Amino acid sequence: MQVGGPLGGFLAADDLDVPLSERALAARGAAMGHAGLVAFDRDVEPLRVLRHVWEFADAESCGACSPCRVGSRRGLEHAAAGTPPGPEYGRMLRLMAGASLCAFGRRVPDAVRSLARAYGDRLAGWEGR
Amino acid sequence: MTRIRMEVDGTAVTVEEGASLLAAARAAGIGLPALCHDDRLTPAGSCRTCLVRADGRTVAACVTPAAAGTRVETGGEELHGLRRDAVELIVSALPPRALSPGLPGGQELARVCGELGIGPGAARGAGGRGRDDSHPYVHLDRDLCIACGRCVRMCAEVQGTFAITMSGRGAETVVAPGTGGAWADSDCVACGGCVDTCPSGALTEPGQALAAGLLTATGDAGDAGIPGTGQAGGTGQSAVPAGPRRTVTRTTCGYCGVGCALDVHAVDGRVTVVSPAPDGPVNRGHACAKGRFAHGFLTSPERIVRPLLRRGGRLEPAGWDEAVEHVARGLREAVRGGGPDSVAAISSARATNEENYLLQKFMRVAIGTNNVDNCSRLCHAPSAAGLTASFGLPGGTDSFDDVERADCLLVVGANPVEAHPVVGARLLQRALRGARLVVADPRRVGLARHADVHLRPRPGTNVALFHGLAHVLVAEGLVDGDFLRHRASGVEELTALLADHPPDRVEGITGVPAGDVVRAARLYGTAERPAILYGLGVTEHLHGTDGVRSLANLAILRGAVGTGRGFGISPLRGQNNVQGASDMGALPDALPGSGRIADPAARRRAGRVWGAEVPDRPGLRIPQMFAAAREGRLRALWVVGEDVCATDPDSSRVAEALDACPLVVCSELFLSETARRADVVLPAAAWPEKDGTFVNFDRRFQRVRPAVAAPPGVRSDFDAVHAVAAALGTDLGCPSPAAALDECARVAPLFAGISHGRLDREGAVHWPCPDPGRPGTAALYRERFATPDGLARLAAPPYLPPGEEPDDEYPLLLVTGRRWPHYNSGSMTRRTDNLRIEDAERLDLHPDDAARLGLRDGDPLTVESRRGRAALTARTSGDVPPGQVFCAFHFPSGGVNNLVSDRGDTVTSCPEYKVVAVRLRPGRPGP
Ligand code: SF4
Ligand code: SF4
Ligand code: SF4
Ligand code: FES
Repeated sequence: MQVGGPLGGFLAADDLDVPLSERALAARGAAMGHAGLVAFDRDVEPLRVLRHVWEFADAESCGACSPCRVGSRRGLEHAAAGTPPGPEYGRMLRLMAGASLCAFGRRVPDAVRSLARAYGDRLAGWEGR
Repeated sequence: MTRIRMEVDGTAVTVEEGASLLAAARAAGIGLPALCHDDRLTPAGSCRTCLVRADGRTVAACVTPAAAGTRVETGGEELHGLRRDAVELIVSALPPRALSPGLPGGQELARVCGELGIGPGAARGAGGRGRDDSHPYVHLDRDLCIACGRCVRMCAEVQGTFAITMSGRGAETVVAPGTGGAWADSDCVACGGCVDTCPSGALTEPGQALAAGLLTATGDAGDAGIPGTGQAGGTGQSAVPAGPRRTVTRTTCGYCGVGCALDVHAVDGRVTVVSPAPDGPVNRGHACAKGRFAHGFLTSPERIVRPLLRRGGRLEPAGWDEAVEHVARGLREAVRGGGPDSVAAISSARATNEENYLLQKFMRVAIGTNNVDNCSRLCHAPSAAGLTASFGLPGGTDSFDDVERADCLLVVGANPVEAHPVVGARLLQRALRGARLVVADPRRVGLARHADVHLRPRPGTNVALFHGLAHVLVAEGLVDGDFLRHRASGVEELTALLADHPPDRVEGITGVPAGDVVRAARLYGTAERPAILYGLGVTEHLHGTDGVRSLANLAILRGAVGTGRGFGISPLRGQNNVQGASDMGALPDALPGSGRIADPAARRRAGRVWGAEVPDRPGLRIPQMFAAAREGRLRALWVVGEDVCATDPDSSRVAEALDACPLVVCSELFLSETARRADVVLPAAAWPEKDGTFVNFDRRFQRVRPAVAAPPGVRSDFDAVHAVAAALGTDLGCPSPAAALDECARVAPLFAGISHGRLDREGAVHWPCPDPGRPGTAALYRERFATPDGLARLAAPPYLPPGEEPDDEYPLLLVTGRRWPHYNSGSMTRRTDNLRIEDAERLDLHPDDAARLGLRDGDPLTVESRRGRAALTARTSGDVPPGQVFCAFHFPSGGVNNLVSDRGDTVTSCPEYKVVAVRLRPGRPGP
């Protein structure tokens, strides 16, 4: 389940018993965002969802700052390649989250991390630690 | 400015309020990567490589203001890692060659990567975005662009041209010309600022590749010796031994009178890159298409490298001894036949002070005549005369650093954006940041687009316009009564005259709407620190000196000169050393340091130092020299570095004069029109090959140092004058340029405190500087004016019409001026790639006039005046008013100066280049 739009966050099926409030969602690594909800059935390939999120980031990054401008493209390349990335992926997410100019770049890492969390083993290696 | 205390890594630092954390870290001696930062530009915070922790938050240091008590951390494994990751991520998008050694440009990124331990392997982008090499001087490799935006901010904030922008988005972001097409077709004026600031090597200039190539070819790969390595101090040349000989030489630009300090980089005696000196007192790291790029002429195959002697009607190569002997013999014969006053010399505003000093001394001591003049006769002689009459000294009243702080700028008859680009850029920045701007010029020149009021007087009506402005100042009580009572004279006469110049009458004469006259006068009159800058649009008139004086009136009425309440009036000098040539006494009526020939005390002082009697009769001015030659009274003329046949008015009559003169000696770089008519041509060194000093437009002496050797066979004018003097049996002393300036300091109290040694230590020194132990005088007249009674003199010249007005036969008015890619007669710039930017002389004409004549852009046309005709190409432009046309004279083949009359300023003989009645015919001139 994707909560709050593309940069909101993902919750696994057994995590959905949560009040619809900013604070409660944030506590589970999601966000209210624009308050949209998108449900995915089990047939959707987790990597496709991950790639979708990175495609969104890559398409929407304005390019004004480097972490997001380059990071969004690099993330997409990783997701498209499909093999779990090495440790530099985690360093990149940390940089995007901590140093991007605006909330867009700062939130991308939360979104992809929460997706990896929601899928657990099915996205093993994509936690970005 | 309040200063605040804060802490960086536990060390207390004090910085100015509003300073960034980056500045604070630097103050604490800590360097951070800062790939999108340049001290001259507004911070952008886009690369995010300057990360620090401030009170616990991770922030970009360059965009975070320091606050009192802030605790900043820069160290630690984590922060270091974060900054390294930031740089590494940026690099990861670049192709592998981005960090390869020997890449032209990109020193900053390479250095940062080196410091952070990021190896060439980190660059693994695919590339494939292509290059733009369409422009002769600015080349773009899109794959290397890290989208830091420095180039865009440089072009907007320092240069003021707004030619480029960041295009695309996200990962596709890359710099591009704002006009969308190729760089060559953009608004770029080739100032080179974007190349200088680019940290990655995406933007380069050809010289960087040349240097890299020269170095690798000779086995010195690696650091390619590119800008940024320039030494800061004023100590001359530094060389790295072994391998190719790389040198960096600090010198002063030899093009316009702004006086930009430049670092000339050379490899094995060949100029590769010229970079503006970051600590240059006038240019502060900036330059223009001329000083920065136009050095290719040095190695032009057309360079004259052997003396030429006329034998049987043809110029043939000769040795120096033979040529010098020939000149000496000719001079002796002339003196024997017609006396010393049958010999004359035209000294050069492009040559050094020392060369000008030596040539005037040669004429006065070795020949015994005051017949020496310089080309300021053709441009700013009315400034010297007018400013001396109004204030006492022949120069601008204030330093440009102050002028720049003015809250109202009145720019008259000048187009600094093209003719003095670095000054133009700085004035534009001031206007964009809120200074009021009044532009007076018939054309919509670069600054006019940003002006609060643009006055467009009919050419030749300046005096009426200035009186109109003065009328409003008086009528509306915007004058400084106290100042007028105690520090000025001539108030009554002027007020009486001004009564006749109400704005509506001025409108009738000048065509400037009365309302605009009032608005402009109010802006100037109510400003707290107004300043006036003007150019040849004021001087090159029949009543040019009157123009200068009536313009100076405004500053006096306002009390804006000599008081600190405003920054007086400054002429924008055309050629690099036009101020210096006159300061050195290359004038028929003045000695070095402005002593008058008519003043026996001044003659005695110079005579004592020279050990010779100084002739007491003022000499001939340039136009008088030509007249004397045509009448057979002039028997020998030495023309130094001046193509009088191309640049002087009524050129065909100048040619007649040269043909009539028995001995014409011409010192030149190239076989100019003048050289072709000479009997002896002496090959001369160019400014990057010379040792000496120049004086720029705001009276600064600056050093000129040889960056490369002159080609074999070529001598400096300094050496040539010495050689001829020696052949005449005269020892002029002054064995070196430094010794010549020392001697000049003894002749001229104004320069007594100035020497090469001092300039090497201090960089630039303003004259007057009477004392070696005290600073020069940047702002003049704080105590008293230099007039005999110490008062500023208001002038009350009546308005008189120009020498020529349009009529039925010649219905259009031609104004001549300059275009940014070229310089004067174009002898240097036409022999560089600047020719690819502007390759022909074009005539700007209003679309209405063009339509009436059936002319379209690019059509060949013939311009005719009462004196001659010129062949040009049409360019329609809304920048000229209907009824007026404009062109430059950078291409002598156009023959523009055939059109101009040799009628000149009634006081100084400066020709009326700015008002010529003409008519146009489509097509090329007939036979
Ligand atoms: S060279 Fe100067 S004018 Fe041209 S794009 Fe670069 S900064 Fe702008
Ligand atoms: S061209 Fe150079 S200065 Fe301009 S954005 Fe790219 S890397 Fe920065
Ligand atoms: S031509 Fe003038 S503005 Fe251009 S670099 Fe030389 S001194 Fe500076
Ligand atoms: S230098 Fe601070 S963000 Fe680029």
